[in-house]
Formats: sequence, C-alpha cells, structure tokens
Amino acid sequence: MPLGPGRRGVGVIGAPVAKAAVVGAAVSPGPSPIAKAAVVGAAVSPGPSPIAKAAVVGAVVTPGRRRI
Amino acid sequence: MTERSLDELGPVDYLIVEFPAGQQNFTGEGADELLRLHDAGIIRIMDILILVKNEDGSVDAQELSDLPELGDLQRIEAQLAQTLAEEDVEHLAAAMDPGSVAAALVYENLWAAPFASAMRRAGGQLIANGRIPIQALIAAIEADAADDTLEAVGV
Repeated sequence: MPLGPGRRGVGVIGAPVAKAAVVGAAVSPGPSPIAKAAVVGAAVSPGPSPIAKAAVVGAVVTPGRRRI
Repeated sequence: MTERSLDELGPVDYLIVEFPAGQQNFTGEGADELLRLHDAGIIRIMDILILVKNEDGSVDAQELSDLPELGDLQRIEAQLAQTLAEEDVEHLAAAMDPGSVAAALVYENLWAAPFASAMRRAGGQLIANGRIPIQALIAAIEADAADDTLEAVGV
C-alpha cells in the first residue's frame, strides 16, 4: 500500500536496521534464576551477590562495585 | 506540537516490535499500554507505521488510519507527526523476517526533556547513548558472582 505525500521527505533512520538480540530468551528459566530475576527487578532477596543485584534494580547506590 | 521550542524537546527514539508469523496474538493490550504512557506524559507518540514483510521480501507499510479497527489509538492518529519517510520503511524492514508484521514507533521521551534541556543549557552535548542488553547485565552479574566465590575460597 503506497504511503501518502506526507511520507515523501528525507528519512530519519539513515541506514538499514539490524535485528537486535531477542530479550525474551534471557529472562526465561535457566541456570541462574537469581541473577535473571535481579535484572528484571523481580527479586532483591539475599544471595551470593546482593550488592550487585540491588544496584541493578536501583534499590541502593552502593559505592565500590565499579568493575574497572 | 505546542509552543515548546526545539531546545525543550526530549530525546526521540524509535523501536520496532516484530510479531513473527504464527505468533501473533493481538488483543489490544499493547495499544492500551502505549496510550497509557502517552496520556501520562511519559512519552509523546510521534509516529506509528505498521509494516508487513511478505515472503518475497517486499514490504507493505500501513498508516494507523489504514487499519480497520483502530480502537483507542484513533484519538492520537491525528496528532502523529509522520516522522518516518518512505525511504525509512526499507531501512526499518531490513530487521524483519519474511512473513512477519511489525509496529514501528517513534516517540519523544518527555520524561527526559527537562534533564536534557538542563544539560544543553550547561553546555553539554550528547556524544553517545544506547541500550544495554539484558544478556550483558546477566553476564556481568554472573561474572561478579563467580569472582566473589573464587575470592571466598581463596583462589
């Protein structure tokens, strides 16, 4: 279906778009459910790395975890 | 757009959501959530195109107004800025698989506009931005956890 005259200007995207990684696969059950839950914000329960988890979900801002 | 100046414009993003063939379950929930973000002033929907990639690789683009049942989206249809041009359609569709349908959305991040304006007034220039894949966050957390475990056992 042809688009209307309002679509005949200069484009804004600039180049063909590449498909991004499918995110859904990353939050499905797997070997590290605690880490995954932390990323999606579902869990802030205690675990082996609570500071990193909390930092990811934004619950606390804890210094000293910058990995440089 | 109202009397807002370009200096007050928030960052404008686009996204393409693909619905692969055989996995299309359109209930209107997505449109409702999109409108909720728009109505709450979190984003301003600037443009929407529906793209259909045929099995031969050709692409059909439809305006919202071409859809038989717009539902609540009808009330924003007249406000769209038609940001995407015809030449953008091929660029956007390059990421699609044949047989899929996609919604291409352009929106202004209204929530970020005051901060962006403040940064510009302070002389700042955006030199990079992007999205961190969830997979990368998971990998970083898991690597940290593995390091902590090794440190705990003295390795």
